[in-house]
Amino acid sequence: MAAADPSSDALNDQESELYDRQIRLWGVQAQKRMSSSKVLYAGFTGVCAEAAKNLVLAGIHATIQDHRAATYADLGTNFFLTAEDVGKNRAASCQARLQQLNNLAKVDAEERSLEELEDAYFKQFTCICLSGAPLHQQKRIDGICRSAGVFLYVVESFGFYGYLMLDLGQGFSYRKELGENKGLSDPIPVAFPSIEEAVGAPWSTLKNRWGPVSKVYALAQLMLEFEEKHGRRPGASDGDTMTSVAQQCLKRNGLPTDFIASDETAVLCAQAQVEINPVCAVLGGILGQEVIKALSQKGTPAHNVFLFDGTTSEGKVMLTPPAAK
Amino acid sequence: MADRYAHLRASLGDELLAKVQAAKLLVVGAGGIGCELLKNLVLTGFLNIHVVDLDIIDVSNLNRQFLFRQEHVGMSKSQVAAAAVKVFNPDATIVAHHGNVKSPEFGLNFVAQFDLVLNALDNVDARRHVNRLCLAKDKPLIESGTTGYLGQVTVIRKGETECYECQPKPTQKSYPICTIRSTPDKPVHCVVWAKELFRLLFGRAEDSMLYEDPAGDEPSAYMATVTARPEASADAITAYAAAVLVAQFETEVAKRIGMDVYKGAKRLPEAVAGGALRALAAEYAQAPSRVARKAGWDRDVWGVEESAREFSACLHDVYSSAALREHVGSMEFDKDDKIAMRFVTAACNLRSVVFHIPLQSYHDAKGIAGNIIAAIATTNAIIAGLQVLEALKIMRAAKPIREACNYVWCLREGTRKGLLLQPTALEPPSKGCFVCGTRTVDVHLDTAALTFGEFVSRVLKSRLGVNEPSVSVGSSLIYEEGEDAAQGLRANLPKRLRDLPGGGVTDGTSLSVEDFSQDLDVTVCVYHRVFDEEEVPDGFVVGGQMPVASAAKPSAEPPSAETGTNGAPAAAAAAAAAAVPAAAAAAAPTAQPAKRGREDGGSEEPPSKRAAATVATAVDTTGGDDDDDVICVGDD
Repeated sequence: MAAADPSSDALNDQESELYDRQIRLWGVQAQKRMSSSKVLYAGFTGVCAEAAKNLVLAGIHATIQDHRAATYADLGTNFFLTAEDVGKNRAASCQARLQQLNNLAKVDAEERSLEELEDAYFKQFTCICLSGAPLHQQKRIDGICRSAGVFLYVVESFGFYGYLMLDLGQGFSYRKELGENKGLSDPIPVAFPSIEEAVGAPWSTLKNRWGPVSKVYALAQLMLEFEEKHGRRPGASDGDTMTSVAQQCLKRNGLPTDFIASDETAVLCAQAQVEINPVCAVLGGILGQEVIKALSQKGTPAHNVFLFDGTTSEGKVMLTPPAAK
Repeated sequence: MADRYAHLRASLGDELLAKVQAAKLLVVGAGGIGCELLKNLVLTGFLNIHVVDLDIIDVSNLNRQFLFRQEHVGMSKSQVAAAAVKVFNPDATIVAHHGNVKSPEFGLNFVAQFDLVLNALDNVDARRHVNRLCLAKDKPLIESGTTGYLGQVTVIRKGETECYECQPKPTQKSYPICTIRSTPDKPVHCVVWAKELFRLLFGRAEDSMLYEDPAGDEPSAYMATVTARPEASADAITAYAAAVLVAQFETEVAKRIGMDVYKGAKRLPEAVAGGALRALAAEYAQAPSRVARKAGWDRDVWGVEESAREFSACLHDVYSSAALREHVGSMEFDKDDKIAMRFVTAACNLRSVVFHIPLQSYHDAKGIAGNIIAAIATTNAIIAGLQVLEALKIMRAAKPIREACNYVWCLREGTRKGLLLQPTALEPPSKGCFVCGTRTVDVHLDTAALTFGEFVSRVLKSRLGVNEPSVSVGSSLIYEEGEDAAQGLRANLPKRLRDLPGGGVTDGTSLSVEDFSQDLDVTVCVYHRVFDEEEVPDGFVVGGQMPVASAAKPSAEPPSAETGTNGAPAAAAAAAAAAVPAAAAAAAPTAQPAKRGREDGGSEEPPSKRAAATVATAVDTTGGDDDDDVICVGDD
């Protein structure tokens, strides 16, 4: 593998040629930073497969982690898998095919589960994309990331919905692009709340002048809440259980109990473990874009949640907990 | 049942999934968006897909067109892409067509077999054509485009929504000849000039904007030098390089200064000393490309000395190679040809020194010369995902398309509401649209100057997107193309518009233009108008309304004498100055999408001298080199 020479401030001819169209967008320095960065895709779901495709193409090294075996259903969204891989480890099965996308980016596989991996393991990465992990694992890994300066992206694609929560730490800053020939702004600092702080904010406080808290956000949190209580994500037959979880959650969060109707919780149960490709593609694209923004420190990052509704194609950023007035 | 459709079944339901699996789709384009789209479609259960693309795979595609590998470079995009996505879902049948979607085999009958068409194109020309095919056959069309971080998706349905051409598209930027030849003030002017010099030295010289007729009234400062092609000996080539350098960067510059071309200019151009150029021509062995190249060399900016050495080195490379010198007189500029690009960079920078314009690196000059548009995987992935979501809404058919579907923007910075993906309602058809509405379009031009051939290639084909025009005045056919076309009518092409048979085309004449390949039937109303070349380099304005600005500001700056225009009447010049060329409108910060189009190479009539200048001058700022597309601005 011809790795980039991180000590040089220039790109070699192969990198120049391969990355020409993207360097014209983000510049040589950003490309150098990206080429010396490494992303952990923890939980190689369909949405992570999309993000990994985008970022390996861009030249960012990758480690894909998954302890689960591939299923036939996975073939519907994870295009690195084939029918021969069913029953085998997802990460190991995808490694070679992801590697084929770009031999300038190194791709590794990790088959141990998140529980088995020690805290120190996570500190070797520049970014971690975490998918399909229960909330307590999200919080654990977030704690490690915040202390080690690793950027964390929690991403979930469920049915037509997409959820992305970012923690770029307390000391992140970026520059805004001021338009053609006008260069970049001075660094703009932006402090990210921890995952714990973010999910702890009562939903009633997340309204703004355009309306109450996003329903996609509430549904994602309900799904995670159910998982914390029952040790698994909800399924199609969990409608009644989910209704009572929803009632408790809504009360606790200061929202009327009819804010989420029972048919909506039923849809959530049916979709919580379902990924469909177009939503993975959109969300994996946004996730890729956000990782590139953070590594290049150019462009306003999503601060701190991005929500996608595939029934309307609306994708928006919200802040939780809300900014102090 | 746990199969690859388990998730889709749970999410879409059996009924919609069955519709999806039974649908027959056409995907036009297998580039940046197309690769993502094909993957998304087969993973979403679409099993019956045809894909058309004329391109072959280039190494610069590999950073985002993830179906392609190094070993595929040079192969057909549609064929490689079809084989690759078949692996993602072996149930799918993908039929690859390596060809131009504008060719007759992909015409109305071809399109008729599909339930839905998805565009993944990189140019306005093909988009217009597919738009017309879909309107003619009443097929829903999902249109898309990306540029850098930005993109958009929209849905077009005959009678329900705006068609692709309901909103005017910004057109190719043209530069006035005299700006390029005499008064450049931007790097792009010098790049255009350098490409013209390339054509003069290595291509069809008489098509170059810098060509000067040896039989003309005024003696040329450089034509004799340029045409005295050297023998293969190193000394002869050096002497030739020195002579051309001196002729272009000393003698010609001094001549123009002497002609008082720059009277009133803020700063006079400065000729490069001939003695220095001669010495540098001999130092071609020390040219930047010849000395050991370190990483990042293409970001270096060559000054006068390096540029002059490089200029000479390029001539040595061409004339000392039997294989290359054989093609002198017929070469075409290609941004990916290293010799051509080194030459253009060197010539551009020498020209820039003369005119005090910032110099360019090889990398940046290549971006300008090839009109390279930044392109990344993420934006294409997002846009292609959004296209499939719209496709699902169309398949579901729960509501009319205009209610069910959206126009969706992908933005770099969020809107006030924090939207990065912003859906908006689809607009109804525009009544004034010449394609799906009134079928009438006004064209303002000089009927005494423009030939009918120019009118056909530049107005009808390039601007209005007509593929195979048949043109009638009143009841008499004056031109047609396509199978069985009457060849005798080609005799009309060299005639001035006003000299055409049947009294000629003059102010107020209506032409009937038909294109059977697109099922298009349009009335073109011609209005006689003389434009100043500085203001309207294209020489014509298309549109139902003449710009309001002409009434509000009757005395826009008259063309200045130093630009060397040929003395257009003052009234016409003032009017022309106030006319808003399409390119200027395109630059306005509106919330409209600004699509871009490739430099059109499709006209079969050799353009006249004047047309050649304008067309050749178009550094297609609105056209990209490959795949992807679009510039979009949005706000809530």
